Amino acid sequence: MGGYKKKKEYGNSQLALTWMKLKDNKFAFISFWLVIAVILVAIFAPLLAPYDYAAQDYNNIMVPLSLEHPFGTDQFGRDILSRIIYGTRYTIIIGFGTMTGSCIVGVFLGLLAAYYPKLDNPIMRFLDIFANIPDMALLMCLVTILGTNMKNLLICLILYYIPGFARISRAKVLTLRNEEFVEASIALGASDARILTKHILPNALSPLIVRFTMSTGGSILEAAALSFIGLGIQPPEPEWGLMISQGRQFLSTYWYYSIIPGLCIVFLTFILNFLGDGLRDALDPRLNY
Amino acid sequence: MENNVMLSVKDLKKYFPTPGGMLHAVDGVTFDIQKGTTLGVVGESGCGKSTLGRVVLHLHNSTGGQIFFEGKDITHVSKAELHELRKQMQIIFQDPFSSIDPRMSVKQLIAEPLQIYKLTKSKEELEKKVKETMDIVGLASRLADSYAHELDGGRRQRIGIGRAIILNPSFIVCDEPVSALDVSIQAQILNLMQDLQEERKLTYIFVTHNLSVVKHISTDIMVMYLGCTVEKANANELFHHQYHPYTKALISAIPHVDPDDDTKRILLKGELTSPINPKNACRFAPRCNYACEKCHCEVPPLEEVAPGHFVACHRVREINGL
Amino acid sequence: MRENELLSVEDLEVKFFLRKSTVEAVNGVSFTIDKGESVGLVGETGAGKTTTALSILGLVPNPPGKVTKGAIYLNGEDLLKTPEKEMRKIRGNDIAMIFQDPMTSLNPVMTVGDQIMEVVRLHNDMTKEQAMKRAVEMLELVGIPGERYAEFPHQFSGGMKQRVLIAISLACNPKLLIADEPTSALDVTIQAQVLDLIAGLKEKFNTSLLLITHDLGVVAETCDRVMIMYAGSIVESGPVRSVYKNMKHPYTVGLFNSLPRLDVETDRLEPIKGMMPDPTNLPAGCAFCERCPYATERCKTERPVLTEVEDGHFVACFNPMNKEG
Repeated sequence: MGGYKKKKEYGNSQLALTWMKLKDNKFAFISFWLVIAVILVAIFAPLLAPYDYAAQDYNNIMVPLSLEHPFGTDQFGRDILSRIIYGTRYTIIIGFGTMTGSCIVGVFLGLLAAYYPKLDNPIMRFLDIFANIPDMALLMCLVTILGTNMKNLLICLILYYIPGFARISRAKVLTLRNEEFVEASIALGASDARILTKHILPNALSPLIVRFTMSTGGSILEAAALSFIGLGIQPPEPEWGLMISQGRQFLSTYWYYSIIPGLCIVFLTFILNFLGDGLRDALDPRLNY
Repeated sequence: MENNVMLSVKDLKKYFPTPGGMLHAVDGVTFDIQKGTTLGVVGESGCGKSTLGRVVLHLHNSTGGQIFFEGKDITHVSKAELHELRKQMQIIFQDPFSSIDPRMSVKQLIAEPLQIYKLTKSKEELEKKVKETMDIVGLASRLADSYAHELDGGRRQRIGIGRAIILNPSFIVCDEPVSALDVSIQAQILNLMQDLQEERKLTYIFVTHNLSVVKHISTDIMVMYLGCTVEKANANELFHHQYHPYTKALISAIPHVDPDDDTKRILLKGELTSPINPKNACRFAPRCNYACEKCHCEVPPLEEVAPGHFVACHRVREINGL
Repeated sequence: MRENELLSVEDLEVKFFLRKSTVEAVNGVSFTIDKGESVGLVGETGAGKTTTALSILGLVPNPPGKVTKGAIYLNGEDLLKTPEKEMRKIRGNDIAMIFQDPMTSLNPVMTVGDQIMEVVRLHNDMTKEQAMKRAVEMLELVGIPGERYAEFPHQFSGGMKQRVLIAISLACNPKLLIADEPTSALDVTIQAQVLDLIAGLKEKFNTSLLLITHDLGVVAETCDRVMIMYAGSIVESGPVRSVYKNMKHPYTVGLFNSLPRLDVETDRLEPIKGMMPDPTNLPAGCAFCERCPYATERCKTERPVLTEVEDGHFVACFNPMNKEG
C-alpha cells in the first residue's frame, strides 16, 4: 500500500484512500468527471444553450443537423440542442432528487424495522404493497391521483423507490447486527447511536451506493416514460422523455428528434452505473487497489 | 480470603427459546475466581462455554442465578451502571477476522474505547494513548493506518487485545482467543496475555476447547458438558487425576505429540445430545460407558471428592475406587 | 521409479499471478509417497500445503494460479501432462480428497446416499441398484446405519458429515487419499473417532494417505512419515519418530517449542519470533533466515536444499541442529 499522503486527523485517510482507488478504476474515474460535467451543464444551462429552449421560430421548422442547429430543430422551430441542455436540469433534479429523498426515507424505515422488531412487520408489509404493484401501473395511478406536475412526479418516484432502499438497509442491518465486531463494540460500552453510525451504516454503504446510482438511471427512465405517456412533465418544458415522445410521430423522417434525447438518457444511465460500481469498490477497504 | 474474589457466579442459567423448545445453554453453573488468576473453561462446541462468558459480561441477559463482581451483585444493573461496569470487564473474541470492523483503521479501532468513554481531553492525548497501547500489545506504529484485512491473524488479535486493555480493566473474558491462530503465533499471543496478566494483575476467564492451551494458562479449570459443570479443579490436579468419565475421555482424545506415547484413547460413542429441553438426568449419560439407571433419571450434584476437586457424577467413587 | 512408489512429486513450483504481484505459493517441492504409506504434511497457514494438494489433483485455480515447473507422477504417469478429460477420471477414482469443512462440502439438497451413489456411478459401470447397494455398504463402513441413506446433510452432525465425506472419497477404492485438515473443524472426541476411522479404512484398503494438517499430534498418531513445510518449501522430512525425536531444522524446533504440551511442564512458551515472510516477496536465501536464531550470512544469500542427515531423514538447512542444541 502506501503512495497516498496520510492525513493526521482520525478517519480522514479513508477518504484519501477512496479517491486513490477511484482514480485507479479508469471507467469509474471518467464517469465521475462526466457526471460532474452533466451537473455543471445543468447549472449553467442559460450560459451554454445557444437559444432559448421555448423560443419558437416558424422559419426554421424541422431543420436537420446543421452548424446553426447542431441537433436540428423541432416542429415549432425550437433548437433541440438548447432543449437538451435545459433538459439536464429536469433529469438531474428527478434523478438525484428522487434518489436522495427515497434513500433517506428508505434507510430510516429500514433501520427502524431492523432495530425494533415490533415495527418490522408493519413497516415492511406496508412497503411490500408498493413494491408488488407493477411499476408503471403504480406510478400512473399515483400521478393521476396527485395531479401532473413536477413536484408530484418527484413525490411519486420517491414513494416508488422507498421500498427498495428500506429492504436493502433492513437486510444489511439485520446481518451486521449479529456480526462479532458489533458485539465487540457493545462489550466496550458503545451506545446504539454510535454503533449505528460508526459500525453499521459504513458497512451497509456499498449496497446502498450501488442501489443509489443504478436506480438514478432507473428513475430518469421512469420519469421519461411517464412524460412519454403524458403524465410527467408537461410541454413546453424540455424533458428528455417528453422530447422522445414528441419526436415519435416524426421518427421515420426526422429520426434525430427522438434518438438524440434517447441517447442522452442511455449515456447518463451508463456513466452513473459505472460510477456506482467504481464507488462501491473504492469505498471498501478490503479490496486492494 | 473472601474479599480476594474477583468474580463469583452462583447457579447461573441461560436458556434460549427456540422453535423446538428451551435450549439450555448454561444450566446452573457456580464458580469463584480469585483476583489475578485464570479460570479455564473447557468443553466441546455447544457446551455453553462461550455463552457463559457472554452472560457474565451482560452481552446476554441471564435467565437465572447471580453474578457478583468484587462482592457487588451485578446480576441486574441499570444501563448507566452497566456502562461504567464495562470499563472494568472486557472481552477478547475468538475470531480476529470477524470481531474487527473492516472499515476502521488500526488506530481508530484502538482509540474507540477511549472515545466512547471520552477519557482523553485532546487529540494529542488520544494519539499518545493509542500509540502506547499499540506498543504494549506489540503492534508496530507504522501499522496505525492499516486496515484489519491487511494484517495477519496474530496482529489482528493484538488489536483485539489492545482494545480490551486500553481502558485498564481488571477482568477479561477471553473467548477462544488463540484457536484461530497458527501455533507459532498462538504462542506469541499466549505469552503476551500472560505478561499483561502479571503486569496488571488481570483476572481472566479463558474459554477454549484446546486442552493443552488451557492447561498452560489456567490456574483453575472447569470442564463443561451441555451447559453443566462436570468437573472443576486446580489445573495441575485436573491433568493428573480426572474423575469424571467425560474429562477422562476428553483428555485421552488429545493426539499426543510424542510418537512413543501410545496410551490408549478412550473412544466415546455417539455425539453431543441435544441441549433443547434436556431430561432431568446426567447430560453425559447417553455417551457414558459407565451409565447406570440412576444416571438416566437424576441430575448428579457437584461434589467435592478431593480437596478443591469437584465432580458431578453419581458413580464417581465406584469408578475411581475412592 | 521404485517398485513400491505410488506418487512422486518432483520440483513442483506453483505461482499465483495477481494484478500487481506474484505469490510464490510452492517453491520446488519434491516428495514421494509409497503404496499404503501415510504421510503427514505439516505447516502453518499460507505455507502452501493446500496448494500442493490441489496441484496433485490438477485443481489449482487457473487463473490466477499456475504450475510453473515440475512434474507429478502417479504410477509413472505425469499428471501435469494429462489432459483435463483424463484427469476427471483420475480424480475420485485414483486420487480422492477430503476437504476441511464438512459443513460446506456436501450438497444440501441431495440425500447423502445419492451423493455417494453419484460418485460410484460416475466412475464405475454400474446399474442404479448396484450403485445404491455399494453406497449403503460405504455408509455402514464409516459407521452410519444404512437406513440413513435417504436423509439430507442438515440432519447430520459435523462428525457424521465428515464420515459421509470419507465414504464418498473411498467409494471408488482410490489409491491415494488426500485429507486436507479433515478434523480441524471437529471437537477432540469426534476427531478421535474420525482419525480412528481413517486409520482403520486405510489399513483395510491399503490406500496411501497424504494428511495435511497443522496439528503435530494428529500426525504423530496417524502417519509413518512427516514433511514440515514453510513458505512454500519442505524444510524437513523423514519418518515421524526420527523427525520428532531428533529434529534438525530450526523451524521444526520452534514449532515444537511453541506448542503448549500436556506431557511437559512449561511456565512460558518459546514462540518463533516474527512472522512468515511475504509470499509475494520471498527472501533470496533461506525463507526462514529472518526468524532463525542461527542464521549466518550464507543463509541470507543461498537457498538450502534437502540433504539426508539420517536414514530417510532430510533437512534443508546449512546448520542443522544437534539434539543437544
